[in-house]
Amino acid sequence: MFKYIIKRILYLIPILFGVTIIIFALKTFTPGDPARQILGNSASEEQVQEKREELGLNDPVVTQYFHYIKDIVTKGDFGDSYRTGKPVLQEILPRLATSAKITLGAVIMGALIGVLLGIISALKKYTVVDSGVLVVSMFFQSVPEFVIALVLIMVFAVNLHILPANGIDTWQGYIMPMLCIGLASVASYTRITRSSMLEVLGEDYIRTARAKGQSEKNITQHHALRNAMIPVAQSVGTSLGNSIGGGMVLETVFGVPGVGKYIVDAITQRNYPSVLGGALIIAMVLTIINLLVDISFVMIDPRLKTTIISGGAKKTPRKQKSLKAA
Amino acid sequence: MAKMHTPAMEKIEKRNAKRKKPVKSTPAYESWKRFKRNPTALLGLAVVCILILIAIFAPLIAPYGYQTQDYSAMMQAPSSAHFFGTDQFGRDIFSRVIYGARYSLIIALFCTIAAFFSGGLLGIIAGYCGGIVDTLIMRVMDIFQSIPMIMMAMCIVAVLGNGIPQLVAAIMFASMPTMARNNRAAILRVRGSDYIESSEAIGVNQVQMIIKHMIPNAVGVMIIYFVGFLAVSIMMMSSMSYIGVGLAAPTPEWGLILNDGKAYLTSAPYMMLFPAMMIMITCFAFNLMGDGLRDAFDPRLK
Amino acid sequence: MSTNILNVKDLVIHYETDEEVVEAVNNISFEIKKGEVLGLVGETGAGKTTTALGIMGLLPDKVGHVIQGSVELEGENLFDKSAREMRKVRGKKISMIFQDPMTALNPVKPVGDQIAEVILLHDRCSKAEALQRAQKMLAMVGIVPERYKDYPHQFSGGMKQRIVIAIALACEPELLIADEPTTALDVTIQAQILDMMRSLQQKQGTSMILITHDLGVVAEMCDHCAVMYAGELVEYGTVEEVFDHPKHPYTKALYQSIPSLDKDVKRLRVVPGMVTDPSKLPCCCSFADRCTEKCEQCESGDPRIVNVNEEHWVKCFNYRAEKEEK
Repeated sequence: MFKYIIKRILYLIPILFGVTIIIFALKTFTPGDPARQILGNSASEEQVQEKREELGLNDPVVTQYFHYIKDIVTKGDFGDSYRTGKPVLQEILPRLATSAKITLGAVIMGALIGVLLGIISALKKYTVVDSGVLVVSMFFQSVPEFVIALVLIMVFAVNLHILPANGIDTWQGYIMPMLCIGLASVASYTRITRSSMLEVLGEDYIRTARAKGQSEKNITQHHALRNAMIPVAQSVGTSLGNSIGGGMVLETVFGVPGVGKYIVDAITQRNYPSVLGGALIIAMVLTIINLLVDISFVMIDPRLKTTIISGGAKKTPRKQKSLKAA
Repeated sequence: MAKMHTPAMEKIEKRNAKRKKPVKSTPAYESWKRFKRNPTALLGLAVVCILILIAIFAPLIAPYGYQTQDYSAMMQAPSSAHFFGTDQFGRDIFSRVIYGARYSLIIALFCTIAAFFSGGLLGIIAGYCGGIVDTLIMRVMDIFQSIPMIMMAMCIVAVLGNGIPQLVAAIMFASMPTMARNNRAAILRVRGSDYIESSEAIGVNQVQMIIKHMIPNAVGVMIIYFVGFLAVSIMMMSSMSYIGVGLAAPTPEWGLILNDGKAYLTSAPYMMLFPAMMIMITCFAFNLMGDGLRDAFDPRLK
Repeated sequence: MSTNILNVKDLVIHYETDEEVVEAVNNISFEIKKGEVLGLVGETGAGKTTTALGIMGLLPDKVGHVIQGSVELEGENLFDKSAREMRKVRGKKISMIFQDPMTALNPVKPVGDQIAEVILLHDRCSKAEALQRAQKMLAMVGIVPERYKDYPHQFSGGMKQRIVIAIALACEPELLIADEPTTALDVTIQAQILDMMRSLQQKQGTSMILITHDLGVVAEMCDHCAVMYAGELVEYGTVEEVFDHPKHPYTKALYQSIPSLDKDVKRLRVVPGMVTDPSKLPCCCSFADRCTEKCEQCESGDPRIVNVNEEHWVKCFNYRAEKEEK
């Protein structure tokens, strides 16, 4: 188990390096001269050259990349914001907490509702309830989050005046952003839970449990659920990525001071270090969360533990179904 | 032996009697039969067809040009002259929404084709070649995937600037890992199946194998991804345009129209209502259709 | 007749889907005495498993329907029982061993828990007591009791089938239905498992229905033998009678398809043709198509049951004619 975790952490390193290369490439392609942007239009050509030298912009690209990595690793320096001149990391950390709160709340809510609906749907398969659940959850999946957000704002903020349309000054401010992100992820959890539940309910060991005289309720709770949760747990990682992406848009819509809004604002202000630094930090956080999710499977599925301990390839017990591009 | 007659049997017999002749049963026909039985999928298909017609005949349907500004009629509520009302520049929102169908669908189509030719192709190559090529491609895709899709797209737009080609490129790059993964899985599933192994065993040559066995079997799944991605790109496009990172005004893209109306949410909610509804209807229709296609081509996935 | 444990009378089971109705079991009747072992023989798709599931009340939801007939266990019709009462019968009075031990056990539960589950359901006892009895059962089927904490994937196929048997016998049922218990196992393991089942069955005095397509197993294990074809019983009798004097052409054909050590046969006789499609059964004798001894009558009507002697009957026109000639 310990070995497995170490292995997974080592595996993280090339991925993170890859991400830095992508971000660095974007940085290099960015139009405009960073030195000029920092100093403003009034600066003379010499001042710009001096600044370029200072920033290391005249070095070969590879050297620049090494400096970039060195700064990140040794100083936690993801660059300085053009606008405020402060380090990006310092600006992002407090915002990360806000975003984390909302995303986490949304993911928990989405997963709970989704899994519950998926179970209901599977138990009532091919009935009106089943198709109703599927159509409604698909509606929320297929409509962009910001449109749902706009509808919610029109209803709850503009017409009913019970929730604030903007900001998170009070706890009520969290409700709508969480709801929107959560609703968008409900559908994927519902679908995965439903199909996995149906598959599990068709398994022979469920028949064995019935042959034992076990009641349907207990069969669902004790035999089916845990087995059915394996693919669901595996999907948390992907879904989290989508939720973070959706969160970026929604933070802007709701005016929540989170990482998403920070990055979007930075994009509109052409504040590139903030954009790319922010992207890198989010990618890192996401990668680490995915690692934690992976480790937690092992807790659910005892079969994985033996394959991992015996050094076998990391294989999922059931062939995982390829999900829709979403 | 003597049959036990049950109501269920009678029902089937009645239906069989109604059917004229047993028709040829090709996989494509079977899929269409399954698709036809699915009312929500048909609804999706119908809406998509209507949208396509609207997009094609936009100039005929729209009473005004999408850029025509009429300062005598600004911020008007919906009326018989302006079905969806007018915006702050006196532009007819109905016309903008109609033209928006054109822009949204075409851009979504470009995005999807681009995504298929980049990520999709990589996935097919990875799945078909296997081995070191597969590992290499998929590891790179892993790296791309660790940045959330929409964030990746926004970063690219940030660097390239707003505009249609930029947006297409951004969505293409951002969707590469998902596309590659899905297409690879589709190819792998066909590759790994027993009938491929058995035709390999009886010595069917590679080219025949690809043409006769692999493509027909993978194509269904790929159509599903294609339709699914059309919806995803409309979603991404409108989300990005809405927050101002995507297309540039005055393109009548739905997300942008919403962005224009943002400031008047309280005073003139109709400005946002109609474009928002169009986005909802379009995305939902594509998804309903995609879902129906999935059930039709691959009943096992249900 | 009071010693009959199980009376199956005129049982008809159909599978109904939107496309077709599959007549899986057609009007079969048989009975089992206390302590007796009945072998149910037939090709794949003959309706053996359906019969077993029908007795257990475990036909697949919505698709499987009992059209007519009764199954009486100790004089009580099981079809009259409520779902709740049936649960008390399953596992306690009738148990079932399934074909594939690989999938019959819940992969995420320790095997001890899975055996204890059935004990807890039917006998009033504490969890600890149930676990102790579970360990005893493990010892009884020849598995080290200390392994009760292990998960199914840590056992081999033969061991898993032993565990399945332990589950089935844990509450000392009156009737055990074994559905091809050894088909999925290696030949060497097959003999071990069958020996064990035989001795446990005798020890507990359990009646048993042994479903198989292996005539050798029937000869070894059973008292009576019933031959099933296309959902019908075509011949029934004591194992000696049926083996020594098979009357139905299908039974005869089955024997001829077994390789024999005594006779030197160049080529095994096969039963010509394919199993009749149970969704398109003819209105005459369903074996007529493949029968080597068919006459005109066979293609016009359904044969009735003819007694060969007290404990042997057959469903064939030929035999009737033969008998009348005498």
